[in-house]
Amino acid sequence: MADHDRRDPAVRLLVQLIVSTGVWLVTYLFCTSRLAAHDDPPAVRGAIVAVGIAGLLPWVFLTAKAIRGQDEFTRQLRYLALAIAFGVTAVGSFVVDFLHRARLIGEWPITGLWMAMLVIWALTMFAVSRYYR
Amino acid sequence: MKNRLKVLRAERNWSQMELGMRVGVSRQAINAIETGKYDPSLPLALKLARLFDHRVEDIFELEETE
Repeated sequence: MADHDRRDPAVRLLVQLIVSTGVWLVTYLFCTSRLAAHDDPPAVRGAIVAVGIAGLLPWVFLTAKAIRGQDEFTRQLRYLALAIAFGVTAVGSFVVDFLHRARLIGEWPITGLWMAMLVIWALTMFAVSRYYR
Repeated sequence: MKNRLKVLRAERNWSQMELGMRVGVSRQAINAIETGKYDPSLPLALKLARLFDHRVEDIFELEETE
């Protein structure tokens, strides 16, 4: 039997998550730099966008699989962290939108939204885990 | 919800980790149940009851305010 078949399922999933994170980063960096540096025709830009989005999907799928594979308590912590991250990001973007409309701050790049949500999710996972430790 | 999990576990000299492994959850889950921070699902409560050979209501009890 090959080594990878004998590996603990949790370790295998972790390796898959690391690989999918790498795939996501590489496709993201390639696609964003390509879109910024080249004036490709719309069909090519559309294809690059598709590649960029496709690069994220394995990470999303594996993250969901990792959460579903946890025991009920850990799963609840992950869902709670996701809910808090969603709420904080929603309220944060609402506040930023109003501040921008009031011309108190400059335009906020939409790219910042999902990045902020990921960071907030990571922070809330840490905070929630500590609270229930 | 109050529970007697810590007492029942202590009677058997099991660690939280050991109890968690017996019912398929993490040590943190057992700790959270014992400290009242987390109410287990019905399947988990039934597993615990079966493991300790008690009825669910002998282990878990609603508080007066619930």
